[in-house]
Amino acid sequence: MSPEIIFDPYAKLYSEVSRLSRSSDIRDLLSVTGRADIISFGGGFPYIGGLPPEDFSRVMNEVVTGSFAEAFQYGETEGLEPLKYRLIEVMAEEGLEAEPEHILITTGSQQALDLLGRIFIDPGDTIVMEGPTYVGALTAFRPNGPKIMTIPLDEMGMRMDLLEKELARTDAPAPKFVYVVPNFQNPAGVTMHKSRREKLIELAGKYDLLIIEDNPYGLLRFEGKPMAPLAGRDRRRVIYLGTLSKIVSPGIRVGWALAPAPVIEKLAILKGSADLCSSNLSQMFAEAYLGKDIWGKNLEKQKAIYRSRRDAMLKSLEKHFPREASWTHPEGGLFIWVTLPEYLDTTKMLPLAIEQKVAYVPGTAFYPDYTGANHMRLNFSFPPEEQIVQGIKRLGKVIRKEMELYHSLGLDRP
Amino acid sequence: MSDTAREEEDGMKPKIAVLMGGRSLERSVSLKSGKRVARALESRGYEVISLDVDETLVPRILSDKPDLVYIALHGKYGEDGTIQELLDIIDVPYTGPGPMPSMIGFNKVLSKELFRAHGIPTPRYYTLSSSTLEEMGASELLGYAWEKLGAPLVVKPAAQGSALGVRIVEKWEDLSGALVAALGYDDRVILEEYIKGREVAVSVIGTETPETLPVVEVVPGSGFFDFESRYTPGKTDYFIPARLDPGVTAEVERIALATHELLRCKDLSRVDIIVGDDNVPYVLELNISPGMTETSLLPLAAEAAGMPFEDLVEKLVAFALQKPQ
Repeated sequence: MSPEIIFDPYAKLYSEVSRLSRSSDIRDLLSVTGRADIISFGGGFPYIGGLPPEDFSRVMNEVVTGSFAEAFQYGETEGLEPLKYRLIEVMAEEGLEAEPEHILITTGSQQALDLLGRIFIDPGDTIVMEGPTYVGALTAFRPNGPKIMTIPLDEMGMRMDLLEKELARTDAPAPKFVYVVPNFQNPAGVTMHKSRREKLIELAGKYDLLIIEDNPYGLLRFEGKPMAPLAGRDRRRVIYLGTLSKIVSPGIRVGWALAPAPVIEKLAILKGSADLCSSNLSQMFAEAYLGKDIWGKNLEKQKAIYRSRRDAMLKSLEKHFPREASWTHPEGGLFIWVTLPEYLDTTKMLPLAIEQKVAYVPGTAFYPDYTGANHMRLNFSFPPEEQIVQGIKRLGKVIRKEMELYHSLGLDRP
Repeated sequence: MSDTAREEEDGMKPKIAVLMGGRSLERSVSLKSGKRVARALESRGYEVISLDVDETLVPRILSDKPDLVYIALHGKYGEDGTIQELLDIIDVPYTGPGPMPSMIGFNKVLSKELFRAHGIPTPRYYTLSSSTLEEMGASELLGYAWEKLGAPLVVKPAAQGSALGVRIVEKWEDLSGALVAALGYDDRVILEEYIKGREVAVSVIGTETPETLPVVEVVPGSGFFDFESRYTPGKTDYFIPARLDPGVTAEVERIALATHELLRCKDLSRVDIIVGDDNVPYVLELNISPGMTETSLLPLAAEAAGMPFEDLVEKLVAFALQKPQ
């Protein structure tokens, strides 16, 4: 008998896809940040504490008592029709027109990302993403084995000049789709400029591209003019994803995809095998809640809180971060993206920050090739203002200390 | 029900507080260890209180009055003697060694010096602190250390578990970056000679007459037993008993026992050793609170010795209750 011990007796049975999942030290380090004594800028949580529970319980009560039989039953895979009409109203807030037959309701928009990855990506296919990009999209697309082309972004969103250059290369394979988060991007906080939106639509036409427009934060605008969604410019080429996670609650897990009919059909077949249907109870709650004027009022309240938290963070960054650092100035959303001197590595710095009881997400998490080491993502929606001030002060000290160390090792010179 | 009535009904099994989690960087591993230990104790009929270490810890212990504390903490504050010192003040017995062995075991510089002084082979090393780098220009010394230890070498924080911050450096130009990574975990780092060979772990348990459990050999798929290999099932192969000649196994066991006794580790320790290609065992470090997760080495060794996890946990509890306070 072989003396070899196998901890996981199922190891030989796992699929290739599941082998890609692994335990990471960043995730484990960040697990300590759930503790109350640590100021965490790490998560991406909306501030549910700012919402009145009585509004929610009243609506939930209404659903349970008024529509018990339906709320606790299975529903249609495509989603509840009355909710679709409410979501059409939500999209209209940003100037997007939609029809119920082009909507698929999903379990958060994360499910839509997973389904899209599966219906469009074969191993080896090229897809285009922003650099940095949403980490949940990376994890949703990656198991399908795509080659990910990363196009850097700046304060005006994805660099269309660089995208065009890549697309124009004759040896480059045509990408299956371009994935973008045009409003208050996660993690960078930047919004795609109107001219870039126009250019993206133009390039999509020229190179016959599909665009996935992920818009979880569009209605969380604190200032400036709302931007028309890409989908409004070309419904044939754009698959639009929405979610109630940031504008109502992530706990109800309600998201949706707006797409051309054949795509909706494909997505619905796959969704059926994934979970049959989204929760009827959640959908009916969402439908009822969106039908009341409390939803708009509560959203305004939340935006006011986020706005003052963002302001507190920007002010603190100005005061406590070294002058070599720079950061984005989001007009909405949940995140600020910090750029530190090129030589710094925020992954190596994370344990020092946690020791000082403050946490962030290191930049490498948001790039498919784990570059971006000199960046960090800071969330401002969840921690209260006094914690933001305190936390940024601590983080500023950690960064300065780390810069001294790099200097003493001669690592701050090119 | 009065206290006495309850004790009679329960057959007077001790009440045990299991400490886990805390603010250490190995928090999540410790939570896994702690929950598994708590479940094992509950299944054997103990009254168990699970405590995540925070500012309410001491008040909780004072008010709950456990008969014993099971320390399932890893890393700073749990493994470095801090908790042990607190429990000594209030005379609550606890599992594993006392403050002194914990302090020495957690500090690789102290323990390696002690190994050297007592003839226990350990890889050659130098140590540097962030303050000598920042205030005394110590980076100028790196070239000397590199030359004297030879490449590749191992860079590690002086005090940290689970191989966090540990890097094997093959190229000179990667050395400074590895120092930065290690200094993230402790303000002192060790540059250690890299010994090519088999990595083994020897668990030692017992009070008066400590004994070794079967030697476990660790073969990480990536060539290095880092954090990911440790806690991702299937990432590492384990051989038990280790694939060593009987004479070498005996020597490894002898050295593990000597290390355990040198640090006066009552009850429990896990000694990590590299057996060089020349068959010489070099002690890397000693752990006083080894992991108790489903992929940890101590429970694995116990199981190979015919001791199920619950028996192992109960044994450690029994040792702790016997320990003179």
